[in-house]
Amino acid sequence: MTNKAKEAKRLLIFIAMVFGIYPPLFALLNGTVGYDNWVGGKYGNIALMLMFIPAIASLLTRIITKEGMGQSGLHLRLNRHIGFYIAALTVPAVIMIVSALIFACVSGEKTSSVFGGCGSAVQKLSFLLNNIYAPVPITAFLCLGEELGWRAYMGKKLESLTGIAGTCVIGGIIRGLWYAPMIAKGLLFGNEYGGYPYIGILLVCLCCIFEGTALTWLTIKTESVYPAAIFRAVIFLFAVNINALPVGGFAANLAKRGMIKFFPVILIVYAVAGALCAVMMLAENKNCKAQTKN
Amino acid sequence: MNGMLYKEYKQNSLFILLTALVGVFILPAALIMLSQVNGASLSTTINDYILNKADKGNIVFTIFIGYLATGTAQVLVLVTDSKKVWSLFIASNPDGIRSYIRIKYELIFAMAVLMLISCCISDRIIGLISQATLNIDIINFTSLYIALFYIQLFLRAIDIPFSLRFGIKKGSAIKLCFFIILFIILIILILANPSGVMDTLAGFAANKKSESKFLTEIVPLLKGIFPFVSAASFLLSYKISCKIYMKGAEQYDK
Repeated sequence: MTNKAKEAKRLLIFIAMVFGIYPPLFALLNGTVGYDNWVGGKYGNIALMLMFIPAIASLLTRIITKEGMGQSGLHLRLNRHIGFYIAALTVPAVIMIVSALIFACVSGEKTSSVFGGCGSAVQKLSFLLNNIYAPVPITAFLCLGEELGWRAYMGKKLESLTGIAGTCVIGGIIRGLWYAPMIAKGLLFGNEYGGYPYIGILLVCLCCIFEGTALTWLTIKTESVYPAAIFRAVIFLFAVNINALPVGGFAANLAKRGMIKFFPVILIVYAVAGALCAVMMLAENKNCKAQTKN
Repeated sequence: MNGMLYKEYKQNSLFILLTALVGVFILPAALIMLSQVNGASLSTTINDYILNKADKGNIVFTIFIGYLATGTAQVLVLVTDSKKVWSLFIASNPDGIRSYIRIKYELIFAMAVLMLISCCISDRIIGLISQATLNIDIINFTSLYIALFYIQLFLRAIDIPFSLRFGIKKGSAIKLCFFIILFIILIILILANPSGVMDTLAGFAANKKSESKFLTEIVPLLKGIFPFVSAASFLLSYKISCKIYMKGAEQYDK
């Protein structure tokens, strides 16, 4: 069996595992505990534990295929990569705040009130630091559960099979479809929007493609999965605290207009960030190929 | 896994395992200690805790002390290599000292994260069980554990250079002297009360419930900045440790 065929076989086993474990668990939890109870309800902790399914699937695949733990992405590689760690902490904040600002402006907020509300500047800064940055280590651990599967395993396999562009697009679609059962149940957007649930699933797939591009770039540059996990942790914490974002009038607008209206704005900002990362990755790839030819 | 990381993992696997287990036992241990201190039976203390009747301050204080005390075990990963021959071997490799110290710091950081994670997971599991069996929301200590994680990181940033420069035993004694001197300075400050500092602090304490600017703006800001301060001090501590390692190694076998 050629190397590519081996990688393809491993990838298929991983995908079968990820999609094989999650939907039955999802159905079981909906039937026993009830969807509202286990997603953000009184048993909300269960939803957090499900974030480890991709990591478990990658581990099982490694065991079944006797692949070993090579290229697990578990090394910190802080040395010489500290800049990428800082980027993983700051870029998501820029993405979310810029998205919120654009949304506040587009939705008719007066420019003077965009930065108003939610207390003084010191209180806004304290809110950001205490609610979004302080819990990063524990949230990054939860995100690590997904990233060990998506980036450290699936990403590597897709890269060797389809190249960087394929990794970002196909990987993003696979990840987006993995969330589909929850989106169909009303996660993020509810269930009262035009084109429900297909538009919601499409938006999440697009988000996964753009976000995945940035995460793939971080993982390739650092050869570690931690920056990607930190990036997602900061995004996750912003999303959890979205109604209290230090952009005045934002909460009221979001409550009135709904997440489905805000999401395309995030997508545009994400797309810009993703495109930048894609250009950098492709340029580096070209340089590498040119150097090997010479 | 290979190289230094593998060596550290093999040498310190017991400490790593213990760190992971601490989280599981920290809350039960706090409740046992509390029952002993209050002279109440353990079942009454647990009942009070589950029904949110127990004094939250006491539980927080007990967890605080337990968490930080068990965290000091992280410094023990430095003990295994306190030999002059080993230090010379490390120094003989190009970039040896830096990579050796870096791995030690990464291991200690990973152990701190592991402790935080195990505490949070056990907290969540206890929460799930109480919800499923009694339908009661018990107190969640996640934010306390996060705060303790940063305090622990800050303390390790002070601990490690002392231990590397003077050895664990001597380093602990010097560190203790350092803290005693700090404590004495603080006592003198309190007694001397220059520019009415203590009066101002007492004023803040008295106005605890009022909306003073100090409590609504400065304290949350300091709380928010502290994680960055502890991370920066950890990095600075690494740089200092790299510089003083060989000086400390001279004294290891004396």
